[in-house]
Amino acid sequence: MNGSVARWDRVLIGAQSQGLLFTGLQNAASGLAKMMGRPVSIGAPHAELVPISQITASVGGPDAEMVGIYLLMTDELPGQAIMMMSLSEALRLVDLITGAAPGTSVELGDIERSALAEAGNIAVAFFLNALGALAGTAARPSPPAVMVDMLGAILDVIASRAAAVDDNLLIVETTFNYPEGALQAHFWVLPDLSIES
Amino acid sequence: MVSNSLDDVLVAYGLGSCVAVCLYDQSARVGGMLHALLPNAPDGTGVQQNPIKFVQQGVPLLVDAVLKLGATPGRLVVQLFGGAHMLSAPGFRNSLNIGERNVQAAELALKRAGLRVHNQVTGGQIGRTVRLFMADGQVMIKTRGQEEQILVR
Repeated sequence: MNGSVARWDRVLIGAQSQGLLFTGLQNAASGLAKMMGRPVSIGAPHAELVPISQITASVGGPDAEMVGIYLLMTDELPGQAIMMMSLSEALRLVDLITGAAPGTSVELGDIERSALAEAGNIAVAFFLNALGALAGTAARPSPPAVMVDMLGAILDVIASRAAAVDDNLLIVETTFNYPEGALQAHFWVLPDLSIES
Repeated sequence: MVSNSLDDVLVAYGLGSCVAVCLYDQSARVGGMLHALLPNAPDGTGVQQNPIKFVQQGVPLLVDAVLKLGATPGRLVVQLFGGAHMLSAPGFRNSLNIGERNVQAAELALKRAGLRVHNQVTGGQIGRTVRLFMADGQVMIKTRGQEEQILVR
């Protein structure tokens, strides 16, 4: 869709782009905060072109066991998005979402995965909403996939989808921080800038 | 990557849909590992500069490199790992199973190189880390959630 490149252009290029992305990421955090009923801040928001071979570096060792909540974005702002955290953080997040006492969730069953999926959904939807308001588009994420696996395996999903186009990934990233809950989740948005997406 | 140094251990970390093609010559003590992301490179330019590994292009390069170090084709033990189906979630039913395509591409590329696969641990929906020890060609696999294991062939 030719139109989709132009839409990302509005967000990624120009003097206002940094502000737009920042607003998007902050909105994602506020969505998560609403869901958790607690304040969530963002850390080190930035957009970077990363060679595919190095994408695990900022998150952890490639065989570290992680939870990844993965979504596709389509329509006018196509691309991929993922929220990543350790298994223990994921369990803490589930407790915060469900309002259970800390330590209640001990493994990721269907209900827990569903809660995580919704967190990912909210984060990406709020991100896109902020951009939509500014870039004049409407975009929704796909239903999320919750993956529990080695980090490298999770990121294979992202890398293989993007590698068909380029060997550098444009990653818009931040961390969602909730200090009292010892929660720090990596959040990435990867715009798909190819003409045919 | 290839090696003829006994101290070396070639490692492929966190194989999801990626595959690792491992070759080892017991007598020459020479071997190599290709860690590939996609079955083949997209048509067009830039494959040579491209650090991404493609199965179709990478396998012949791996075989050449290993032979150059002194391996003999007939003595190469060939093993294949990875190619898991990572996105099996309901929202992604239509997504391509890259893992499976990588495995198929590897089997085809190896066949074209005149090699047969002696052993493979592929498929499933789980991540693996694979180490190939140059000292004796032994392989250790760590599957997500389990202890590292020596692969007995």
